[in-house]
Amino acid sequence: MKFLESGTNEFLIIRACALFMFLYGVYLIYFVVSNPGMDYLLWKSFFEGLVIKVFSTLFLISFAVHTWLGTWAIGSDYFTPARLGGFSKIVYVSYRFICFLIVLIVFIWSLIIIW
Amino acid sequence: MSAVIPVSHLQTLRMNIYRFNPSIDDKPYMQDIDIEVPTDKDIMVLDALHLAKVKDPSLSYRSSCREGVCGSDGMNINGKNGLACIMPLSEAIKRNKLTLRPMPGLPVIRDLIVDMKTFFDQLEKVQPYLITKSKNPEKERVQSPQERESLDGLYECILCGCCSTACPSFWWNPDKFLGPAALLQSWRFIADSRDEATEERLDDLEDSFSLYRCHGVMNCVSVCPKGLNPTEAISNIRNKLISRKGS
Ligand code: SF4
Ligand code: SF4
Ligand code: FES
Repeated sequence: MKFLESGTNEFLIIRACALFMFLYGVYLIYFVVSNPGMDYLLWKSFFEGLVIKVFSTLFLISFAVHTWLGTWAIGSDYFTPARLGGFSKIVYVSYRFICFLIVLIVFIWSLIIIW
Repeated sequence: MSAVIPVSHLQTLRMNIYRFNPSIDDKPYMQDIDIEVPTDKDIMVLDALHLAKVKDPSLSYRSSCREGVCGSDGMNINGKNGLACIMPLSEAIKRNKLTLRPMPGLPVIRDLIVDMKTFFDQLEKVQPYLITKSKNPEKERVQSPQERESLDGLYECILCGCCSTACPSFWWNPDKFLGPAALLQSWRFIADSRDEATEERLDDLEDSFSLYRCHGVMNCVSVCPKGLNPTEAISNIRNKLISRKGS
């Protein structure tokens, strides 16, 4: 069984990414809450540290992978021949292309902002 | 049947039944059939169907054991899948109406009769029988009472199809997702201490569709007329698939 065709791997990866994003979110909320009256300078300097840059990048990778696998699961549920007949292929391919574009743009754009 | 019931104890019930005979009808339609049902005792949906068939003999449905054992009269009763023979009218009727449709997601052969081929094809894939590799013992392959007990809640499945045809994942990918009934049977043999093909069985479920299309909606659990829990079986298999990754 190839790595990418394993449902178990997908299942674990989707959940691991979600967990990482959750922890990142918790940390961010913690930072905001523990710095009342925070201004732009503090916010900016927070994101300039190397560690947070690395973690933000990891967050973006998690986001991209999670979204890519998640939208694949949704698409292959809904855009199937059983539901859409002969049109399913074209609908599915366009849908995947749009997902790909969105994930790619968000990913690259955010990377530029972070670094 | 209705002739033996005193007239004073009868009440009219409107049945609303899905009709489709592909050799004469262009498309399916719903037909109202009024029947007289007793007020002083409960009868089953299947009995009501028999009464409706007296009124319109062309009405078609499957049934056999009429006691929830053969699994042939699975149908959609007022929106929920169940066995007509063990579903009392008192439970089934909503607003003095009884709407019957074939189980969703499978091709209709005629009226309430569906083509179960996809369902049984999926069952066949999980090899629902013991597979052994070791030499046959002199007598039978024995199990301890505890080992036997672990099959409770699994072996009772009568393959009525109520669960799989209530499962959105099965509607959408009936050829790729095995569906709750087949997965329950898969677990029934994985969990069996006498079976010696666990690894191969798990290998067959490792792809993205066969098992992993279950999203845990639990429609299957809520409709199973035998009170079985396919969702739990599926998560047991999934736990096995995950834990063997680590080893
Ligand atoms: S698990 Fe229940 S609903 Fe599903 S086929 Fe078996 S008896 Fe029918
Ligand atoms: S729990 Fe899984 S198998 Fe059961 S109805 Fe939901 S998706 Fe289908
Ligand atoms: S007629 Fe056999 S299960 Fe209902």
